[in-house]
Amino acid sequence: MRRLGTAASVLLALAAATKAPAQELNLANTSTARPRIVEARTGLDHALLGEVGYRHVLAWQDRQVFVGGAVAVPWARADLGDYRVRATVGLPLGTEHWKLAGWLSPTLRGTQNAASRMTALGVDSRLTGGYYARRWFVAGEVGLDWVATTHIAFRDAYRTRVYAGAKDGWYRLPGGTAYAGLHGGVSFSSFDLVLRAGHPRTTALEQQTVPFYLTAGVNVTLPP
Amino acid sequence: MMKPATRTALAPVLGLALALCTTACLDPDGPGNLVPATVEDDPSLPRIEVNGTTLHAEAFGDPGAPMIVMLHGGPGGDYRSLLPYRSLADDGYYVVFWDHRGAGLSKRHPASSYGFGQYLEDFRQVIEHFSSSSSQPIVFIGHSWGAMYATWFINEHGDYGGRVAGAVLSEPGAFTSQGLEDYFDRLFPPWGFTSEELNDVAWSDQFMSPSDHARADFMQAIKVLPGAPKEHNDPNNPAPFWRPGAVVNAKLPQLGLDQGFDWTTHLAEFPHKVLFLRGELNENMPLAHQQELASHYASSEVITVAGAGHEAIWERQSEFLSHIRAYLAEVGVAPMLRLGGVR
Repeated sequence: MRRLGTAASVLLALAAATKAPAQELNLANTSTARPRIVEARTGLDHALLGEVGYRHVLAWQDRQVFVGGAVAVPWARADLGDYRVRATVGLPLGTEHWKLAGWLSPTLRGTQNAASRMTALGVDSRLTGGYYARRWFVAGEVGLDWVATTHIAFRDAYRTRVYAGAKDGWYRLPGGTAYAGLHGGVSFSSFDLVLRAGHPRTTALEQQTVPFYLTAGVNVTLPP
Repeated sequence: MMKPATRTALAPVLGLALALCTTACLDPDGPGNLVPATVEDDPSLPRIEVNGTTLHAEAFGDPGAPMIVMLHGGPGGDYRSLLPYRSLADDGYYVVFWDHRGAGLSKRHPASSYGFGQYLEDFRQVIEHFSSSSSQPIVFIGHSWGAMYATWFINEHGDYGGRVAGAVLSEPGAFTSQGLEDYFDRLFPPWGFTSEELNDVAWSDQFMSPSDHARADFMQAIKVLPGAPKEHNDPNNPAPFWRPGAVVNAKLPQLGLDQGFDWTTHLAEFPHKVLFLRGELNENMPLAHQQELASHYASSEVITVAGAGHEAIWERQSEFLSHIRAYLAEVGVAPMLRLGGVR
């Protein structure tokens, strides 16, 4: 089971490394003629973090489909044990200005804390909808960042000071984050400057340690 | 660049992995997986039934000897780090340990079930459970929240019909809701906004949700383990614990702040001296703070343990025992002599 989970983790990480997401895009300006978009984010999202990502705009029938990925790490203290890697696919629908988009992001996370090393596999499902003009956009978002399984390796400090019998392994359905918020931005030349804010809860709607998220960033559409 | 076919194959592989895991992976809520089982799931644990709950509890010494009731910190802590004080049983005392309702290895309850009156009644019934007679002398030894709990009992029950002969209070935080607010202002945040400790705790929210007692208690352990720098505990000798009670840790202070409390109204009537022991280095409880709390009692003494922090009761056991023994002799709670008069 552990080998299978590890293999899935590696595959997911590879997928994310080859394609890359934040969902705060001005969908009025995206085009398959200029399909390459890089993005950078910073702010508070479960921790003070930095995120870089890449998105590719594909044509599917007469619609645009986005595929991409992103890597985020907390930057408060340099700690390579904490990370989040995502691959994303997104499909927007709607009129020229009013659009609704669904996004699916298989996600791999890691962390080291005083009690354990944890690795989590899950899927972030997000629905965004709003108004998109050439120079600006604003949208609402709701999502469920669901964790399917978390591998926990307990540290010696936990075993000696708290519980020697703690069981290392993959734990099923440990929880996740439900969230709702707003994002928007201004667009000029090849750039979007974006802001995103909202309120996270656990999947059982309990409060989390940091009761809000707030990030700012930039998207850059690369020349064809 | 990953080939499209490989990428297409990812979804079923991941789906299969996740489907297998939902059946084959460990249950985070399973007893004994993340945290030790409580008295509900581990029949080998010593326990008592009082006031509609099951408490992890045990006692050492002659049941007829003067009783010493040990009260752990928290709320939500446990008595593991107080167990060295069972040596007082060798002195000739009956030493009672218990994990409070919803704490340590005691039974868990939903947050909505907690009430102040119920929590105080638990304490009274624990005393009655372990009492061998209605005149058995009692001394409380409480640490942090446990010292507050002891004061609460004394304020409500006085000397309990002449039975409570004294109390040793190690670093109580507050005796009133206003004092608790002030204390929390000093205590929180325990770490800096950009510290790795806070980062680790907040980042961990993505990996597990505290939707069950086991998960909540494990996540509480993640918060507790790094310690609070302003308490200046010895990082090379951290106090052990079994299992934090996350729900009661959040609920009881919330009840106190919402409802308000003042546990000082009758302390001046308590007829015995109360001993306060404090760690010199704890920034959250400076000498003036402990002196102010002690002033509510008619008779009290504050002793500072040099070079120690909040967990002095764990780090300086021999020094604490020396002060406790001297105090017990001062308040006239003599140990029960064993056969032959040897203590």
